[in-house]
Amino acid sequence: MKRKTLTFIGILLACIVFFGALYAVSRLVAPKYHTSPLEGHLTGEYYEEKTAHDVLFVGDCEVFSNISPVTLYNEYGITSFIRGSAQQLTWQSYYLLEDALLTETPKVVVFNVLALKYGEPQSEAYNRMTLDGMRLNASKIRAIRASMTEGEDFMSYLFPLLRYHDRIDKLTGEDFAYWFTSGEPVSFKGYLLRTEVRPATDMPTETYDPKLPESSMEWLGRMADLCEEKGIALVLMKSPSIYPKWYPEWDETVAAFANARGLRYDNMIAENDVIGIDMQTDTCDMGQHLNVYGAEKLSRFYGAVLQKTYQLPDHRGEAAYDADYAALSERYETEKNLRRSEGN
Amino acid sequence: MKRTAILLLAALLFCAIGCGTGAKDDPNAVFIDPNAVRGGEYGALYFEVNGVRFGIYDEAEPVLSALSEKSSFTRESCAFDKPDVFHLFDSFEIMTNEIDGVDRITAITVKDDRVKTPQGLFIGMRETDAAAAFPALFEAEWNLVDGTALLSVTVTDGVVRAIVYTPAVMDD
Amino acid sequence: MLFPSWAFLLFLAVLVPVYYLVPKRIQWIVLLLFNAVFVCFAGLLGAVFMAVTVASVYAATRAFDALFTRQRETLAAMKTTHTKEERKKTRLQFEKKRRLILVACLVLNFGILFALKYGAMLGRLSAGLFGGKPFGQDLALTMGISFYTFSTVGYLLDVYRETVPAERNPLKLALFTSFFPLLVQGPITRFETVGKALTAPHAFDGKRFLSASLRIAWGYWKKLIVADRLLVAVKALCARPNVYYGDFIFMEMLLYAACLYADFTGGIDITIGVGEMLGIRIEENFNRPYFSKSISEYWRRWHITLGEWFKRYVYYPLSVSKPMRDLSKATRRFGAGVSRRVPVYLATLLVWALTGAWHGSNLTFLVWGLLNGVVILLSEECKPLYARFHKRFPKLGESAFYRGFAVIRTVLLLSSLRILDCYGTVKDAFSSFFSMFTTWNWGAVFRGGIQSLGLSYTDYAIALFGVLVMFALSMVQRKGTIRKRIMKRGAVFSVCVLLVLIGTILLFGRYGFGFDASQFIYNRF
Repeated sequence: MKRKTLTFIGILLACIVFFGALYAVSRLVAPKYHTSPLEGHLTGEYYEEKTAHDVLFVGDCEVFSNISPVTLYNEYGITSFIRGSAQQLTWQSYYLLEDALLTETPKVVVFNVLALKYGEPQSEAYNRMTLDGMRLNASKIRAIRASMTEGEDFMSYLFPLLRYHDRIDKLTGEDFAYWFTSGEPVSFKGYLLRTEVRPATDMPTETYDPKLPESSMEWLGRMADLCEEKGIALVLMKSPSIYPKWYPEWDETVAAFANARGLRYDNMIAENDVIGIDMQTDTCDMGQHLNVYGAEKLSRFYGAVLQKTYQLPDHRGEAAYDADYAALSERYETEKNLRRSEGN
Repeated sequence: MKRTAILLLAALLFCAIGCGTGAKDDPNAVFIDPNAVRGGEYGALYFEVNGVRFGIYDEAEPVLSALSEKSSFTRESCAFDKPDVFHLFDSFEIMTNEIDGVDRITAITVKDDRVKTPQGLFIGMRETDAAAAFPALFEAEWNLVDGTALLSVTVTDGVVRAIVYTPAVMDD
Repeated sequence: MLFPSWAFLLFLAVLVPVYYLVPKRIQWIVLLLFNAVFVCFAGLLGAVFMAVTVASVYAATRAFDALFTRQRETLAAMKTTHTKEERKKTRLQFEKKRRLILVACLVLNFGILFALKYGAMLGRLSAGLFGGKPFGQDLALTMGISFYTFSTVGYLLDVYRETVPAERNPLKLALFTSFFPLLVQGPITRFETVGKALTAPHAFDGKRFLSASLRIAWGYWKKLIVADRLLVAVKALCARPNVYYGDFIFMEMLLYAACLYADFTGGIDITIGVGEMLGIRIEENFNRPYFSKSISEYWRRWHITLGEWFKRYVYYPLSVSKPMRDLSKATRRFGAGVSRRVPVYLATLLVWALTGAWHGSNLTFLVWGLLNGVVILLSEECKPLYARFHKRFPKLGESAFYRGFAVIRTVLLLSSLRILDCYGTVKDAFSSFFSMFTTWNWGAVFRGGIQSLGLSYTDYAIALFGVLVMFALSMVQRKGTIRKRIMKRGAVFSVCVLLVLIGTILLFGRYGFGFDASQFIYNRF
């Protein structure tokens, strides 16, 4: 009897050590996204949030590059967060929203419509950057199922070691530095700050399908349903980036959808003059993404629109928010100045 | 007697292996990787403008310096280091990417009817004329592979709408 | 379902508890059901072919049984009433009937195998000769058919020869034919042993379970860490005979030898381990084959069950068959040596041609098989010469140095023959092989060559480590099984070994998207 108990304890201990080591190695080999590419760090940063948000932005790079929540707060007292990542597909936006709505109910959700052009999973690398940071729940599992490209393996999303074990000989200092900690956020409530100025010139020609894929429009419908159910106002936005192009046929499709569902749809490309965005100074990469100057202009403009339309409360002066945003603003300004002085 | 025979056989074998080695490769030779990307392997699927001939995977620098580009555009692929660079000309575009440290041509797009491909294809051409000008392309259902290059022509309503050269996807 | 797949592990994880929880009476029926799922999962066509094999072999063996009984009864009744000649005639009539059934059953079963194996090739051949569209291009071997056809036909022949009684329950024959671990990489088994063990009741035994897990994990270790890694380089080398020749071929020989060993023995380890987990002992298929001192010894230690099958069912019957004896008689006038050798030579070469054909439908496999036979016969012929040599240098034969030499010689020889496995045509194989002696290009191998094969230096280092571990364990194995020694040190120690194996597989195994994906610059979007 005693011997058996000892054996049992021994095996149990061995298993604990084994799974502990496996967990440690798994964390070690998983990419940290702390220096490059930063986009992979965005999804996880949402869970570090301590305050609630009145506005959630969801979408691809056109949200995390073009909207600055710091400006929205400092100008209007609007509390917001961006759940966006590189080439975040419509269903990924849907599930990230579903995931966020488990813990909070914002007043407004703004979805950037560019990703509607993709009706199918595109690339494993982008899937990973969007989904790896998500907390484990039913939304994540459904998001994985919807996003996998050919040859991908579901289990490897749950156990990152299965995917990243080949990184064992490619580890860098970053992997050790952020082994057990996610470290400081790289974004400002989901916003990735860039200060480069590279004016827009001619654009390459593209071929395009005038019809947006049915599947992505269906996901947009589900997103509208979800918001309706929770009493949240869904707003569709096409941010003012001029490349990749947003074609008139697509614009009409989305406008028709918004009209049918009674949603607000703002195509900001047409509003660039009103907003004051100059594609010679306000873009960091020839019109694809706005730099911080452009993002601040857009945020100033759009904050006013949102506040007016949805009567969003001004949270400035509330102790909980002020403390949070004061620290954030300070880090924001420091980073902005630092990047500017470094010439990028 | 038998021993002599065996010795003789052994000596012969030794000679066959030792001396029959023929021309030896330079032991210092650097191996040419068959998977490495190389230019010039596109057969008939090249493009020619103002006497400058180029095609998929050719080194970009000499081609671009021989042609005078109007402007260029760098397409940021979100989160990846190496962008696609588009070199824009009046009637066509050249896309380049850095591959193993060398900028190479990875796409050629014809934009209007002011330039023709070496086979005489141009935008706006009638489908029947295009088929007559380049029968092999027509037989390949407008997607012809030669070496490392793929020529894709989009035809709608009997008219050529797009002409694009891209790398052919290799199955190994 | 391949061994390294989630589907297989899940299958096992469901089967094992169910298998031990159901009443022992119906254990084998549960196993049969799981086999059916496994077979159907791989494709319904395969299930149909398997059903045909089971049905035909069952019908034939039952018919043999009935005929034996009737023959005995008839002959007994005739004993007093009929003459010896008449009784002999009756016996021959019965024999003829049985032979007819046997031939029909063999033709059917080997016919299916042959059609699936050679259909596509014959289609191309006939299209080449007579024009038209090649037929049968989608014919392909269904899962495990090369293995279960041989196992089940072996049983058919055993019953035919009355060495094994015919099984009355067709489901038990179906269970034997469809036993899932055997369908992946073999081995070829015998109904007498495995077939019987399958239907016996088995109680759960924790120690056996742990020991079986160790064997399975070790199999995966070899497969995922060594075989699947080296396979990348081997495939790259074989794919371009015009680029990789000369000293690359020597490299290819060694890499392929390690890769094949790790893959095949690893697969068999998993098979035997799975059997053990279910309480079923499956025959060993390997006995440290790379320590053989001659090719014929190697073939007694590598893929043992296939060699034995051919020996038992082709070589022996053929050597003593009437045509062979006649041939031997006919050649007697050329001398006793010749008349003794002719049947042996013929039978040997035929068996090796068949062995080659079993391995693949390409002509290269036939040549490979025949060359194996030729080498074995040649070394047989040289035996007197060796004996004289060893008589002259008696100490040399016993020295470790000479034994090592013999082992290395054998490995190099069989690796040379295996070059034929790697290429699509005999010409490519031969020209690649001989280029090794005419082209001196180690410079190219080490300056860019080995990096171009799809493996990084870390990959080579890991594979080398894996090979060294396999070699070291094989050395230790000479003194008895390693698992027994591990198990002797207690359950905790065994579990630790198991966990280390699993951990290293997870970390260093070559599997998953990171390895599969070839991210080309132009398919980023």
